Amino acid sequence: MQNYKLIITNKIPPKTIRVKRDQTLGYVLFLDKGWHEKQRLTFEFKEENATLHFLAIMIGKNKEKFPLETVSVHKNRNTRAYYTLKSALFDESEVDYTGNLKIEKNSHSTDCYLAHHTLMLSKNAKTNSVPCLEIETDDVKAGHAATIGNIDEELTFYLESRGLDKKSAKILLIKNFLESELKHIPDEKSQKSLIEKIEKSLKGVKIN
Amino acid sequence: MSVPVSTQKIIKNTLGEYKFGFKTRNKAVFKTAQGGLTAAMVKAISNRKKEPKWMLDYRLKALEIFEKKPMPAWGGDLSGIDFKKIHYYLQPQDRPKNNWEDVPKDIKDTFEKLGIPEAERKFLAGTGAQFESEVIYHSLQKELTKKGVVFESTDIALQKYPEIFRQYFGKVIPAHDNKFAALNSAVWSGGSFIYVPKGVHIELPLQAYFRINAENMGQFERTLIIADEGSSVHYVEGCLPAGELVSNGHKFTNIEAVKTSDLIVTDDGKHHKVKALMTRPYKGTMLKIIPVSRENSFRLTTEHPVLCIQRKINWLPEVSTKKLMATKPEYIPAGKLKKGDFIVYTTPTKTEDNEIFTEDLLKILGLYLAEGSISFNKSLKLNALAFSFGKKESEKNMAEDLILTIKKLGHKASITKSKGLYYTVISYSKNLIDLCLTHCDKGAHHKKLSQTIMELPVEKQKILLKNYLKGDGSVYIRKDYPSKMIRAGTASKTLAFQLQEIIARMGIYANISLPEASQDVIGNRIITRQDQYIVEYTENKKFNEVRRKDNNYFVPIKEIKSENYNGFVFNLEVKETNSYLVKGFAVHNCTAPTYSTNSLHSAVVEIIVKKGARVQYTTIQNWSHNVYNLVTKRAFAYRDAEMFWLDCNLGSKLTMKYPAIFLMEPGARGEVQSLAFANKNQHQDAGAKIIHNAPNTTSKIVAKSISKGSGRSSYRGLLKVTKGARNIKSHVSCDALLLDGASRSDTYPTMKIEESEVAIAHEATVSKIGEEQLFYLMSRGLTEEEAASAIVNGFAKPIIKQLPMEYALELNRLLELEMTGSVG
Repeated sequence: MQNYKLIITNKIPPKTIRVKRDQTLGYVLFLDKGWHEKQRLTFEFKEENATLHFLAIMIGKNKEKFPLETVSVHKNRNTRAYYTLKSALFDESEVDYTGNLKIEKNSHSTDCYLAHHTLMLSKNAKTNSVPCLEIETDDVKAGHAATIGNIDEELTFYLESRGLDKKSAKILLIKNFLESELKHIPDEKSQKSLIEKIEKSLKGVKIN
Repeated sequence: MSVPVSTQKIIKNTLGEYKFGFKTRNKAVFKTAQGGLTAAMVKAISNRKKEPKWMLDYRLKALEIFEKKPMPAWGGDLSGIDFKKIHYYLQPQDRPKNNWEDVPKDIKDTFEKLGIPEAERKFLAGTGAQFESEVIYHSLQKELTKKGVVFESTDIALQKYPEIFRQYFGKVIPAHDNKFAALNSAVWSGGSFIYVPKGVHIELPLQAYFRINAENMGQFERTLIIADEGSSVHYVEGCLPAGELVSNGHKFTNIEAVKTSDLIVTDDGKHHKVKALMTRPYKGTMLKIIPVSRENSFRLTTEHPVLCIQRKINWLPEVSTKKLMATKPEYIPAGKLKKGDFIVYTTPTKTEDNEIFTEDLLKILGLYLAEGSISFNKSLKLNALAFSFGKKESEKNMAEDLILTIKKLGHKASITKSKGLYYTVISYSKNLIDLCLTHCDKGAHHKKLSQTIMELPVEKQKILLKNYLKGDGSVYIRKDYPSKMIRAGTASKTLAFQLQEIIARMGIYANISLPEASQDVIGNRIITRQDQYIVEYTENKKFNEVRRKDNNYFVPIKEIKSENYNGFVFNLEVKETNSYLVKGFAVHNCTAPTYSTNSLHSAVVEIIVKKGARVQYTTIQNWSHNVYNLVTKRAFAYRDAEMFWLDCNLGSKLTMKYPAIFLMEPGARGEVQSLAFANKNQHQDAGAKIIHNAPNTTSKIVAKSISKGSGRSSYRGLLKVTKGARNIKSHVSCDALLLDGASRSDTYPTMKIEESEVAIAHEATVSKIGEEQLFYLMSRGLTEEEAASAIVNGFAKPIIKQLPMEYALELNRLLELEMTGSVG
């Protein structure tokens, strides 16, 4: 891929990230440690023909909190931004996420989408999800989706019928949920290292 | 009375500091309304309504809360609201006096235009009861009383059912809920109170009477609906007040019967589509402008602009025609008009010849207008067309001449001499009867001319008029000067104004007057007349106060009366041009900038849906574009109950409305479907709130918004699952359609989930009208405009189809109209 840049991090930079002309930026946030103050991450599209693929994986345990806000500001034509956030919440963990897509006047042919999927794996987990859209021009494609739910009972049952015990079945499904977007990263080494991180983080989690 | 602790707790637990479901970020910008709303005023309102003490206390407490609460800093721009300038209480008034008799015919015509089959029309006439309120009201009211249903104005319910009222009032939405709920609690007036007993199902939507019963539509109405166990009810919100006749070219219609997308004539004499019928409460001076021709007088508010030439200081009482013609008429607020100023009477310019109107047919129709009647002959089982003449020899000649004419057209007719020795011409020709009915209607009070006739060339109209005058007219010729004064009398108001229009097309401004019912002699016959409209004009007049310029007549004002008015006024918004004709005179739209103040509509609707009950609440909001529409609506749904809000917002300057449902017990279900259309200078900030407070509850939200011409529409929603509410299913979908680059669409959904056994899905899309969709439809023969309109209609369809039929039709037409001229 031409002019492709990949960033994998577990820290949220407190600044605005500018996606440049003709650039394709891959940005992966791996978060399994919480924080207290709301963190805001802004992506700005000032130059045309810029693309962002954003992926956040959040694994919440104990009393970890994830107060996060992402803002996508589109100021020029022909920009694209695709956000995917996956959170798996155990114990008393909490996600408080606001994802805003702002498309300003004259940013024609913008295409952006935001999806936030949450697995609620404990009765005491909490989630607050606010995906917003602010659109001031018509020549756009914009949307967002959010789902909040639990592991599909039927899938667990299927895996159990294949000989897995309940816990392994659930862990397998959670792993798959968190890893499903990794295949879009065009770098196998990075993919592998992320999978390892996920596996490590999921060790010893409590599921009820 | 204070809000019970249990309710406070529920509100606090579920909403916490998010009183509206949305956080107030900034400090207050609002200053308390010292000059405006006072405790004394609240006391006066309560006193006038003779309310019990607890209600007064409740109001006063609410006032305190209102003053303490900051103005919301989120959502729309509320800076235009001036609490000092708002009328907090509108005294209920008598129902506007109207001539409703001829309205049903219009409705039937509308149905016809819309191509609704006969059977369905009958069905609609039954449910579309809003125009014949009295009849339906009584039959429905009887039915309701029999079932034990209470359906009253909220004020009356407080007097009649104090206990049940006190038990439920302010329980769902306490005064401290938000600033505007507090305001409403302090000054509320009007609204509906509905109690449906256990197991009672009300089939018909309860909407009928509120469309014309202005009493129930205040600025601060309060509605309380209680559906007891296993019952169901559907309530529809709407309003429709009364007014003046407006010209739609061939006939004159009561302004309240005008529908959007109807064609009416404007100051350029051409037909234009009505874009919106707007309503607002008004208290103050109402002016009655009386021009030459007393019956053409009309009433309007002081700020309503009228097309006019103001009399200059140096003009003589007898203005020189030259000076008058050199002056261009301008729109001037009615309050600045003076006696002697010239207002502009306009005649429609559309002319279209139609070959079937031969001289002979016009002669017959002219005589029919004057002397004809159609009745059903029972023994022959046939309609009979009869022309009654006098008993004199000259009348006999006329009758014989008529027979010849009818025969010339190939129809049969005979002459008889009835008891009083009057000559009567009778014909049973179906063809001829149909022509008379189509083009002249029947019944002395209802005769009117068809659009086709009103658009015929002047020469043909002259023939009709000449023959009409043979019957109903009389001529006075002055001896000293060769002028000819012609008078005609008719019982039909519409016909009188139509004749004035025809005569105006011939070049003369006729005078209409309405003498008291009396005995009079016309054409040598003694007639006892009731409300006879006299149309009168003079050919070759020596002195004329009225001047003509093309299709305009400059008519001096004879008198201006002012009266106090307290009630609803309304106004049309017309596409392309901003004027319309009232009694033939051009007036301007009372558009938003000309209003001195903005209006505020702040209602509170509380609904309690008990075990196994169902309530549907439907709103079609089409307020004028100067109204701040800030409404609090909330329902509590208990075990296995179902609450459904259907909310359509097209009007207003700013709407902030988020119908809420609290699902309080297992099995409850809530659904909100909404449609918002934001056009120029409008902001629709609408949405929904659903609080899952119990396990095994489900909800659904479907929100659709359309933004056009720099309009802004926002979806703002809350979905909350509280701790312990297990097994929740909820689906939220928001679709927005942007029609141009200047418009704006926002989506702010909030999901707060505190439980794991949930299945929540939210989706939102924003799109414009797709080139491909347009291209496809255009390849099928639609114009670009039609294609765009079809796409918008398809987009809104899932919401519209849930509406009761007549509202669905109205909304469809509104959307279609908003879309015309929008492409390119």
